[in-house]
Amino acid sequence: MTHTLRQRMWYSYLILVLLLLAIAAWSILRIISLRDTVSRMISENYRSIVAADNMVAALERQDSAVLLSLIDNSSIAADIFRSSQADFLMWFSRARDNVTIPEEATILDSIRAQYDAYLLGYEQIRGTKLDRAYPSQLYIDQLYPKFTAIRQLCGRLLSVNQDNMLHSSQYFEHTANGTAKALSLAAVISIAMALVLSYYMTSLVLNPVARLTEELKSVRKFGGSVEALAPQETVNDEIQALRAEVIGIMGGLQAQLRRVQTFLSEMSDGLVVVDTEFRIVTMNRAAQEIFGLRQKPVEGIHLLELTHSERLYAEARGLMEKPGGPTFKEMWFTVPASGGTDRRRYYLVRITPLTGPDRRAEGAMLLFNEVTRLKEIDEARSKFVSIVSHEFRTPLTGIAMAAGLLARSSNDRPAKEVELLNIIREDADRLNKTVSDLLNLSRLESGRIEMHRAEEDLGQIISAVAHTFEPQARSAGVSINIEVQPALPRVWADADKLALVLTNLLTNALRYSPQGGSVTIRASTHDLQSVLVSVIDMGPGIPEEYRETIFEPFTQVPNRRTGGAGLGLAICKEIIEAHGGSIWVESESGKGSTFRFTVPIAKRGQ
Amino acid sequence: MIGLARVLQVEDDEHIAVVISMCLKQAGYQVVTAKDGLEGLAIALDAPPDLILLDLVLPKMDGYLVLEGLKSQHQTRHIPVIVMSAKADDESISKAYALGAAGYLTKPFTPEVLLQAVGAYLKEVTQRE
Repeated sequence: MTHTLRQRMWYSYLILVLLLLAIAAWSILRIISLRDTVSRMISENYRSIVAADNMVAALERQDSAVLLSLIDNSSIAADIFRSSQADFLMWFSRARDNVTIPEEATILDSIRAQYDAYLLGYEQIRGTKLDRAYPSQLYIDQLYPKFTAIRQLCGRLLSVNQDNMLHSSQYFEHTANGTAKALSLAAVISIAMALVLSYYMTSLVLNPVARLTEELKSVRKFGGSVEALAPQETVNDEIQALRAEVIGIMGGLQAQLRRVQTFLSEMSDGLVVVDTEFRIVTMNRAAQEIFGLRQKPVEGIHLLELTHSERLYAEARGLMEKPGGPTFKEMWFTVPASGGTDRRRYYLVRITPLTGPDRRAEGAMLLFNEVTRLKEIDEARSKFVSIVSHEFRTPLTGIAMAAGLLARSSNDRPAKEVELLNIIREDADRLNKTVSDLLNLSRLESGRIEMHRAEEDLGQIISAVAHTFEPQARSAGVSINIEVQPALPRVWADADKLALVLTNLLTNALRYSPQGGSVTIRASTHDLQSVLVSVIDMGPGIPEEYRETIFEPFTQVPNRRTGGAGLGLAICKEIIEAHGGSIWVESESGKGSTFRFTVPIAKRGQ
Repeated sequence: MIGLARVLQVEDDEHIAVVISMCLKQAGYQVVTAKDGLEGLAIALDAPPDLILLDLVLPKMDGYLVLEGLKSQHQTRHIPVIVMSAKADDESISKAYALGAAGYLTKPFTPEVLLQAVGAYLKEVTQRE
């Protein structure tokens, strides 16, 4: 039968309390007994001593009275004798009532007998006092010896009681000493027992706690499973209950951790976690495969050593150093073809800074999503577009040249033929523009078009582009207004590409403007970092559901006159985003559209 | 002199060769056509023209090689070469200029553009002479 800790502690304390109670009871009894000894000593012996003293005094007064009666025959002596006799008898009876020692009774009996004889002798003296010489002789012969005997007996009574008192006092002292010793011993035993019990109780609690700590430590150190520590006995002790609870919680956590580890290792994306020093904390199987590190310990390796990518490292560091910054960053990452792998592989890496509860960076998580297949498809598409475009352009050259040559000698040609020739030329031109857009977009999307950025005067670019549209605007009856903020900061941009953006936006604006309408190009500072350009038309506007998608390639708002394949805005978007700006449209159906984009302001020394 | 200017075009596409030839002849130039790179280089070396119109994608020897060949020979080094190509990317254009092309025409183009370019480069040659 095992008991709970509470029970065991309770029993231990109970034993200690009972022991203390026993000692206390025994001490009280001892003190009571000592008190009795003292009071007995006082009541018994002290009274007998007083009585003996007083008896002697009364007897001496009687003796004096006898002597007086021998000299003076008055009745005074007899009176003194009688009153002293009464005193003596009173003290005698007191002593008699207080017999405590056996010897006392014999002494008192002798005193009584001698005193009776003494009284008898006194009567004889009184009867014969006429003869002067005789009574004196009688006193000397009979009365005085009796007086002396009584006095001696009284003295004996006194000394007997004194002896007894001394004896009692010795007994008291002895008992008191014994009690003191016994109490000291009891105290020592109590303290010892309390110590033993305390030690017992402390170890009762601490030993299992220490054992549990050791067990948990070993689990942590050697990474064992807590299930291995399954309870050995039935749980009926608080520490064991605690242990079972801890093991239960840890088991649950370990199981959950194992599940998470399974997810991570089965995940097709590569996962790498680094600490603030950019050393690998952990990585999953997919990540090990990406870096060809199967079965090698990777913990502690520096991120640069793993990826050999300065760019990746710089991005991760940038993210970690700005705790309030973006929550993640996506970038491309390539692994060159090598040894085990036969082709270059592409990854989309998502870097997420890991922050602790106090929002301080604790490391970063890098998720490598393989997009090689997509990239290859994309490359194939680009190649396809490039080939197709080339194949389009060659015959277009023939068409454009042939029609152009015919038109040059059109002086002697009927008007109808001239019109037909113009249709051929214009459509060749349109087809060529579509092919160019396709090619441009394809290159922009794949990042193969480099931006030749410099400090540029945006107002100049706007004027130049607007100028090229003047004839077209005039013939359409649309006016072009330019509103450029005075002292507009210079922008950091590729002037040709920006001109292309403005050209595309103006083409659309003019295309949809009603006759007599106007198109406004406005440029002003947007914030400290960028300039905002707006192209405002008075056309039919763009329905809300298309405001996002019109920037996607091949998107067109239905039921509109179209002039292209729907690539213009997609190209604008690619160019603006390549500049680090953004482009959007604000529109109210029926009241026109406003296309806005931002361009970064040139910083000094850029 | 301009009326007698001799232009060599190296162009494999028959239709384009015909319209370019027609266009230039109408404008008063003398035109010689080569159908592949090797032939173009041979003609240029044999009888150096005043100006060369050179396609990039050519059978036997591509336009870049022809350009390199032309620029490596003293009798053809000075002849302005206008590259005509459907390739409109920065890379192709800068490569052509790096190899010594005088101009670059992106296909398709119109007779006006062609004549303007040819006229401009021939005038440059005349002025130099």
